[in-house]
Amino acid sequence: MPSPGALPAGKPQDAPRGTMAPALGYGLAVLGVALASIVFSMARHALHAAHASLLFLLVVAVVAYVAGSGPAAVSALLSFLSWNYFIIEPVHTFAVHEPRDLIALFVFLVVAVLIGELAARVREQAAGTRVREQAAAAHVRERATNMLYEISKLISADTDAIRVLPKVLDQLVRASHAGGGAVLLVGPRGDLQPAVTTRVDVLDAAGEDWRARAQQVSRTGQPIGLNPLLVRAPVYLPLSGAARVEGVLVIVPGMPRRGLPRQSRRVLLTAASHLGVALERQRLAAAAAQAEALRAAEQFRNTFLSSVSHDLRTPLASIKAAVTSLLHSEHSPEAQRELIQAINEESDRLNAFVGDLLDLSRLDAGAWRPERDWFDVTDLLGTVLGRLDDAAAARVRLHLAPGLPMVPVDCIQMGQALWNLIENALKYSPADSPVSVDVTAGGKAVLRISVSDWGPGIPPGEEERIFEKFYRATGDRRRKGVPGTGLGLAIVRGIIDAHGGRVRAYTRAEGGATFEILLPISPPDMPAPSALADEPAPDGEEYADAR
Amino acid sequence: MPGERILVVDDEPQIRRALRSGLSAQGYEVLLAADGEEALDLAATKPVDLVVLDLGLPGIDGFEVCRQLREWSSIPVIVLSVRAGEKEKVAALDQGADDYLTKPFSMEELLARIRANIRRARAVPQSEPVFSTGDLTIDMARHLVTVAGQEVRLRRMEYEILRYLALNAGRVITHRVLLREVWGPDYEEETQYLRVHIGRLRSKIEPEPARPRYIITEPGVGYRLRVHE
Repeated sequence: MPSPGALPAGKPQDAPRGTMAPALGYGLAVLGVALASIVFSMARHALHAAHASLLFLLVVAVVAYVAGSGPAAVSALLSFLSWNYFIIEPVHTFAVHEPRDLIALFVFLVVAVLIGELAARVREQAAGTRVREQAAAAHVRERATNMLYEISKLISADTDAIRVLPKVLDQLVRASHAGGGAVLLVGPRGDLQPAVTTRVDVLDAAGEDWRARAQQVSRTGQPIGLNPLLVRAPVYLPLSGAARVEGVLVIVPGMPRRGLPRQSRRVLLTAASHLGVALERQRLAAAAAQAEALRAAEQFRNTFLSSVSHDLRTPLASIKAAVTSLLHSEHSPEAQRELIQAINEESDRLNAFVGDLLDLSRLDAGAWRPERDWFDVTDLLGTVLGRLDDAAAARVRLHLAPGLPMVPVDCIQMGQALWNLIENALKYSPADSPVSVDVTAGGKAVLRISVSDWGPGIPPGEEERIFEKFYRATGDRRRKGVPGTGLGLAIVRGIIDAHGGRVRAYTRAEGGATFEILLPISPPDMPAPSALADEPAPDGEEYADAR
Repeated sequence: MPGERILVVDDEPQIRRALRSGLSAQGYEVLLAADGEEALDLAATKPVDLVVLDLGLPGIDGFEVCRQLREWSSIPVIVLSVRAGEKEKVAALDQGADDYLTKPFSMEELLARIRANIRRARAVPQSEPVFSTGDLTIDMARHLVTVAGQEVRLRRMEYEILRYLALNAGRVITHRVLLREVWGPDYEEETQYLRVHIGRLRSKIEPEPARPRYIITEPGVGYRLRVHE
């Protein structure tokens, strides 16, 4: 049989039911008339001529319904002839003696043709109706497929399937002409909780404890209510992933008498399956992320603990050794002084480490939150250099371009960053080599501060890694002996990033490392400094007083 | 100066011990208090030249001690604090403290601040017209400022800033106080003005403005004129 849905309107012969080849139709016409004639002639004495007309009319009607108007006309004609020949006096001739018989014959013919036509027309209409019904059904299916596509797109578009649930449920309820619906999700403890509902009143009025039924479905994994016999009841569909049931979809039909349209059921089933997979995927991704976070935290904790214990205990060990030696042994004044110096230095180192630890907690939280105000870079550098002892301070060469703009920074944090860089440069280079600090303006938008040393430079390839927490440069024997927490550069980067700037490191061609900070000068939320400094700040004339 | 009496307030016995031995080694007489109430009692009943006050006390905290002390006394107070946060320092200074030190501190630094603050408390303006430290000399009667013998011409506000810092040499002065004293109460928030003028002042009196020897920045708090002893 040719596919029925493809044709918008078909010829009666190609219509779905009673498709009959034309030859067959005409054959049937002949056969029908012949049969009727035989039946009548066999029972002639029992039957009247009127009975014959009814019999032939029956044949015509059947042929018309089954085979169409062509064969019906033929059977009408044949009946007319047969009735004339076999039944009307004189028998076995086409002559008609009685005028009333002639009239009857003609009336018969007209009626037969009419019946044939009517029956055929009814048949066509039925066929046409069927075709229209199929077209409508095809249209409904197409709409359902479109809806399904939309819903699938909705689910796929967001990796957070839970976030799109309200929209998805809304679409499903509309697609299935439902009265209300709900999606319940299986929680981490295995309990089923409503995540989103539409028209809870409709759900509650459905006449059963839908929450309990949903629980049941989540346990069995089998849908309830898809059986077309129970059309009034809500439909429960499990949302299943590959491994387990992730939730339950509940839909209450909007038209209780008719239940859900069949296409809607298809949409619901497909959507439920898609949703189940999406939910499972999301759950697994979250679990994986959490496991990874735990692993990273564990690793950090281990690194941190080993670093802390080393860095706290090392200076303490020196202090303890020096102090106990002073307590228990006799030393010359010079030796005493040396030991006491050592204790002083190690105390400073301990203090610096504690400061680093405190900064570390801010590093992790990204919690720098600079409180910005306009500062002179010269001033900031001056404060940093003031903290150095004379020998170290003497090694630092400042090269400040003239007319440097003010920078919007948090003075304490920026001071810390500059201190870390300068201290590093001093530490990692020979004690007689200079450390150079250059400050220039890069156009109107950026201030460039670079700290350069004549040490061994940065190991190739490590220019980014050195900014990681707890990094200590590998490979260099001398570097291994240099104490440090490995946090200094990480703190510098954290601070500079929080100020919207960038810091990078590189080894110079002639040797030695340079750390370069680029700081933006004009963040959008601060008034420019010139607006304040150029105001007529009352500063009076020069003092030309009486001497 | 020998014979001066210092009240040390700290709840940590090791700190009290260390301070007592450090200060008495320099000739000061030392009174000890372990909490705020004891401190206020001692300050009220015995003549004291300076108070070294820890902010982190049990019971009434250091801020409150300072505030109450200031209700009836102008004894110089130096506060000690574990936290380096400038907000806390500024708050203490606003409450009436005269200076601060962050723990751990060096004894040398504490002694310098004690000297500076006792001197300030004792200073009678007219009797010391000429201030001098290192190569810097300020003749306040003649409004004359010289550095290494060379006269420096200052604009009026620059001079006023320098003068106020010199009157309080060795002590930290908060931005707010400096602005109020030099420009007036309406200018207490204008730290920008201050920075600009300090910058200009430094460029005139500092041999190396980028490495100040005289006008020292206390980040986030204020400025201090360093005394070279």
